[in-house]
Amino acid sequence: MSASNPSVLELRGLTKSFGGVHAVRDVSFEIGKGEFLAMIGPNGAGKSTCFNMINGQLAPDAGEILCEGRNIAGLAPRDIWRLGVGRTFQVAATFGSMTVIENVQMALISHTRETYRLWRPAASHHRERALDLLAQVNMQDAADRPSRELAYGDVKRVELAIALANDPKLLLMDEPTAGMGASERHGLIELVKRLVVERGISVLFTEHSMDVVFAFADRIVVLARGRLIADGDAAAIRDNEQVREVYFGTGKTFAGAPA
Amino acid sequence: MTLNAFLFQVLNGLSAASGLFLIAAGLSLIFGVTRIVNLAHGSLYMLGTYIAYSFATKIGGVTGFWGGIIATALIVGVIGALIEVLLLRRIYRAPELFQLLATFALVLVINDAALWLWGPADLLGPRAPGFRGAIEILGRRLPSYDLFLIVIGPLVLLALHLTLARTRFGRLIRAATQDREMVGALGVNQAVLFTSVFALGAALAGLGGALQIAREPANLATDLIALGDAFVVVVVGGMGSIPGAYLAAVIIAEVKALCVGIGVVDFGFITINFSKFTLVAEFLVMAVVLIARPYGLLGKAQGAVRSIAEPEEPIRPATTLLKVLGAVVLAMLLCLPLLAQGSPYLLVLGIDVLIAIIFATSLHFIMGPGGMHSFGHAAYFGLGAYGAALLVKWLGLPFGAALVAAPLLALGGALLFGWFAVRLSGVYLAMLTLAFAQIVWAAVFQWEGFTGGSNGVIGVWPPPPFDKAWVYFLLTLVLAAIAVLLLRRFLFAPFGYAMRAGRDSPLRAEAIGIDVKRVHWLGFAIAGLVCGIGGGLFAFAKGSISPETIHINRSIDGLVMVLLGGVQTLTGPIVGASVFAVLQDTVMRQTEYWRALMGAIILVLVLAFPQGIVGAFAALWRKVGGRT
Repeated sequence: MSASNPSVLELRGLTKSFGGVHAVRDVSFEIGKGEFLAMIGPNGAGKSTCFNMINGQLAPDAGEILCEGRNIAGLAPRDIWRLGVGRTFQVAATFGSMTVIENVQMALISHTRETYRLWRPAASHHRERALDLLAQVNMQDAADRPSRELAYGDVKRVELAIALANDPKLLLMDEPTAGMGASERHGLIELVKRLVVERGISVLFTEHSMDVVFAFADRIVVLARGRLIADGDAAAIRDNEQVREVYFGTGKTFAGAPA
Repeated sequence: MTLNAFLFQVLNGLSAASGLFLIAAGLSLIFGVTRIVNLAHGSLYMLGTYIAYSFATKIGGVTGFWGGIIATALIVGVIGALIEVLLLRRIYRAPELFQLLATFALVLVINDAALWLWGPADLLGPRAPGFRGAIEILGRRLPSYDLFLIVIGPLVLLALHLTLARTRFGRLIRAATQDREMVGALGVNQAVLFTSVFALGAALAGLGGALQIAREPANLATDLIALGDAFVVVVVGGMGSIPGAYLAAVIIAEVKALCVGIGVVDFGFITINFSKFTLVAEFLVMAVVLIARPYGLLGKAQGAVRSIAEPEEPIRPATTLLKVLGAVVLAMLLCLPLLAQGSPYLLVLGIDVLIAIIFATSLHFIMGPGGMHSFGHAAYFGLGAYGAALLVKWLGLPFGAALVAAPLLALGGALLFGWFAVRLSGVYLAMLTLAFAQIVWAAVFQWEGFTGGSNGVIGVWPPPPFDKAWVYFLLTLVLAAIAVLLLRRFLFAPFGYAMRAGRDSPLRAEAIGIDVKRVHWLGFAIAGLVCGIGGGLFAFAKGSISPETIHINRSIDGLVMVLLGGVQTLTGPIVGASVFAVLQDTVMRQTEYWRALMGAIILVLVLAFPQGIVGAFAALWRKVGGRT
């Protein structure tokens, strides 16, 4: 990474164990501004643990998580969000008793620190801005539908609009395409890629489907048994001996991936 | 206290612990497998005492007593099985709250059934054949039956442990306790498993009750007392953990026994009668345990219960129709004093209804949008009522100042209790709020010098012109309208949305910067504050208050009001409170068996109208609207 591209997020020696199991061991990597970084690895590699330490759901045993130079390790999820880190969940989560636009409005209300207001109706807060965000994910037509009625793919889009509400500089996406069909999958990632490029947002995402990873990621980090074993662009990862080894028998996954 | 006296109290405590354990074990077992918190468990225990009494007196002798105890356990087990098959089976998929209410309806029905069958008098059974004497221990005489009880608790614990560890039935119970969906997926017949577990739990309750007749009379009040004890034990020990139940039973029984043993102690500057702490001791233990170990001593965090509750509609601002309707009702109420000139009772009823509305709406505020099912909302009502009355009595505070102070005192209580309560969720939150309410109740009941104890505070009348019923009615109406409209306003404001966000998806809410616990805590405080207004009004409306005012029954009444109207609607609590208060003041007074009637109403509600009156109307409206 060049000096002209300062890192938005930097992990230094991140470590976490559960009981005697070392889930994540001494993992270090950086994400540059505007970078689309995929974190991959076989099941049990420590991706989720790593992810949950970055988003604040777990506190690391050791190591630092620097967000633009500030150590955020051990902060609560809501505090990390306040620093400009948005996220989407593996199983999409929205507020089921609210309409689509109210979901986005809620995030905007929180962003402008109006959560504790008791008087003016929430529905009159930031409606224009919320509609604008929904338009960007092509969900403006569903704005006034209850969010629990949406198809799963649409819920994912709404989640994306919510995640963009606080103008994040970093977006954490845990398996953004889990539970989606192939064409839907590419549609969503293309949308994400377009939005983040426009805004210069950095993205860290985990993903199981290799075609998505190799088609869209600027850079890939590979975890295996809690350790970082490779860090590089698609070509470098594809040629990496160690990576081939941990994905033993899944060579065809790589072969099928576009360059 | 000498060492001997101390050890003697420890023995006493152990015999009481056996009784507690027998009640609690069945409750814990049933919860572990079916996830139903069986509020009727105390009633099954009470049935045990009555049935065993009948065996022991009608047949008599060794057969009547000991054979009767066995027969009682079996009969109560069968009753439990019937309850499971006829009622609970229909509501396993219903929201937790409905299950609690349905089983509470059984409490009411069973209580009146016992009243009808055995009459209101206490019935003292014979002494146990073979254990009539006492044994000299540590220089004191301990009834030999107590020694028998000390042994029976661990024996039942051992038997249950062996059943759970060694038999196929036990393995299924343990598996279902951990993951009942997986057990279902593996092809186990859940219906049979649930029925048999319920029967076993009920039989244990019956056994516990039957064993008590040699010590204490069968009494219609035992159901709620036993239930309270069982709850505390199960929650302290950890829901679903049988060894935890025994451990908790021993701890609680010992704490109580030691309170009695210590008695009055003079610290020089203050004299404390520790035996007065027995009522509150178990709830203090429970509160401490829940705060330190939210899942009890030996309990584990329950996997998220996959809620199958009907999802809630987004809230919409009032339609013109609703606004007009509200204005008409308000105008009619304003005219009520004119209409009621002939019958002053109408105004008294009106005041009762309005206070009930304040109570129910404030409870709904945290229960519906906040998702916090408080089983102790009476505490804030009581803090308001007692606060106002005591300030008038001891400080001579004027009426207006007392009415203002009432909600502030309730707010203080809600801030304190709520801070702990919002750290829990589901059943545990319900139990902790119940514990706090019981602590307030016990404090009021036992602190005679200050609160008047069971006599309460009398002679708290409002000054002129508020001594006239119609003026007081109008005052109540104005305050109730303000309270209802304010709470509604809050729900539509960002704060109300944040509260619902925290309920719908705590993870998502935290991930967009909402401090869910703090939002829910403040919601709890607002509800307490508003409830306190109702409490203050109540004290001056009745001119007196007694511990009855804050009894657990009032908390349950509030839940029924909210559900009667519909928990998922905003106007529901108003309708529910009105219907309930009118029913209570009219129909319920006509019959001796009002409990059974009330129970029947709840059962109909739960089984036929789970969405409440307003919810049912709304559904009907949508249906009709869809056709045209």
